[in-house]
Amino acid sequence: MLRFFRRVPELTLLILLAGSSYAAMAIFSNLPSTEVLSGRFIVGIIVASFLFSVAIAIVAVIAGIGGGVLFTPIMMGFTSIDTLIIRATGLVVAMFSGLISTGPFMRRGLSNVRIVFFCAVPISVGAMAGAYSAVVLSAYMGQRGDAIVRLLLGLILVFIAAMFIVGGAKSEYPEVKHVDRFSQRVALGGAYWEESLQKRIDYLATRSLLGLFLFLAVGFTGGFFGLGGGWAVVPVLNMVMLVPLKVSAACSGVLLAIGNAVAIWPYILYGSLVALFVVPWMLGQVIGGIMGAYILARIKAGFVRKVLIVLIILTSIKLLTRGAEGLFGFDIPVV
Amino acid sequence: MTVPGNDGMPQTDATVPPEQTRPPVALSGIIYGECVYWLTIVGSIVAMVGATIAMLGVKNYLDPSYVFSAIWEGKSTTDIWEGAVGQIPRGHWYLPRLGTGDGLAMFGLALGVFSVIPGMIGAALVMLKRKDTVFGVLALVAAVLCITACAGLIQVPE
Repeated sequence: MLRFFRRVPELTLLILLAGSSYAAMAIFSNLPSTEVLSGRFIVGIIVASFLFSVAIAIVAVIAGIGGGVLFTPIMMGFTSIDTLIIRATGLVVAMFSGLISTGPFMRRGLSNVRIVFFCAVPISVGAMAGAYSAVVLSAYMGQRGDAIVRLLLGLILVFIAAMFIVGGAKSEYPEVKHVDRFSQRVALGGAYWEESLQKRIDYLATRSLLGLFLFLAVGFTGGFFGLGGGWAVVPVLNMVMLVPLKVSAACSGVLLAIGNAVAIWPYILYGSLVALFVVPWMLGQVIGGIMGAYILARIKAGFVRKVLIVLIILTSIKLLTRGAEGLFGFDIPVV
Repeated sequence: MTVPGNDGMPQTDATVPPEQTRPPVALSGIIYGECVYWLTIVGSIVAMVGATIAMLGVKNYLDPSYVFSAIWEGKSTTDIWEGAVGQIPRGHWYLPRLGTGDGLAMFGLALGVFSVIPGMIGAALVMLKRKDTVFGVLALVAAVLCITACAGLIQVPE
């Protein structure tokens, strides 16, 4: 453990600075209490947000999903914070773990820069279209339309989780039996060093044109729901384009950062991000993201698959229940 | 276990060369990764300093007690900004307020978000120089999308 912190001095520096910062806040902060919150409680919220964010980031980076999939449902379910603030902060949460894991993933060749740029444009374009479509659909169909789409999305996620379960270990290092002509031309392939096996893994993506259109759809659903797209990027890369699971998870993290970078600027420029509330979440993502990136390089691909299955199932349950609640007008407690 | 070879076709363990060496990493990927990584770290440190200054009550644009209480109560961003400073900010409002804790914190956050732009441009230049034209152009297109958003040309859906 100590060797790890010596190898990544910037992580050690960030942890020390964060610790000093929050200690200084706890000791020297003299915030006046309001009717709603005391000064001490505010500092407590900040520290708790930071620690929770670190945990979310580690799990999210390992699974290749954005932390928004965990952050947004929990915050919407257990707090009365305004949904726009949650959505905007969720984008930061989804983005920063991907941003910080970009360095370690690219250095190790775990993330393929050609795959990233191949997918970044359709995801970004799809995200913008999805965000605007959400507004239009809401205007025409209101809550009912939103509930129907969430139900459908939840069902799709259940199907994807089932594919991962049924697919078993084959999804960790998919066998590519045939590479189509388009895929051969774009040549989305490469190699990386699998630490857990101590061997080189070569790969070449197939069905790239189908993947291109699916990434448009992934971006669209991400922009529509504000959930980010990591939960869908990994299945498209791994199960459709047959990219190894760890590479899929790594590329997903990097892609989320690019896709969310487009979506997040309007929230910054229109005051929807409140800096003091967002910063502890951002810091947690950065610190947890670095840890998660190094863990992903070393753990077995099978563990990644299991984490992903659990997270997809949890997300699908949340989507299905929210869809059912919106469509049939009842409230399902707890979930 | 079978692994795909460089031609995309599966190979059995028996045909995999016994001396497996670590594969080289693409320079464009390293440039993109290092740019994003270090700018994000610098942005995080700046944001941390800004938040500390704000919470210690040195100099702020918004009152932290009011902001957290309003958020906890479930108030909208419109209500929070209008209650705090009388108006909703527009554009890069934090740039003229880097002397305040929350202005500096937002600058740090924005620096992290901004990091993908120089990263993509740097990676694109390397790809174009190495005649990897299609992917170099894709990287530039993605950078242009981000620049468009940063310049405020994409409106937030309400």
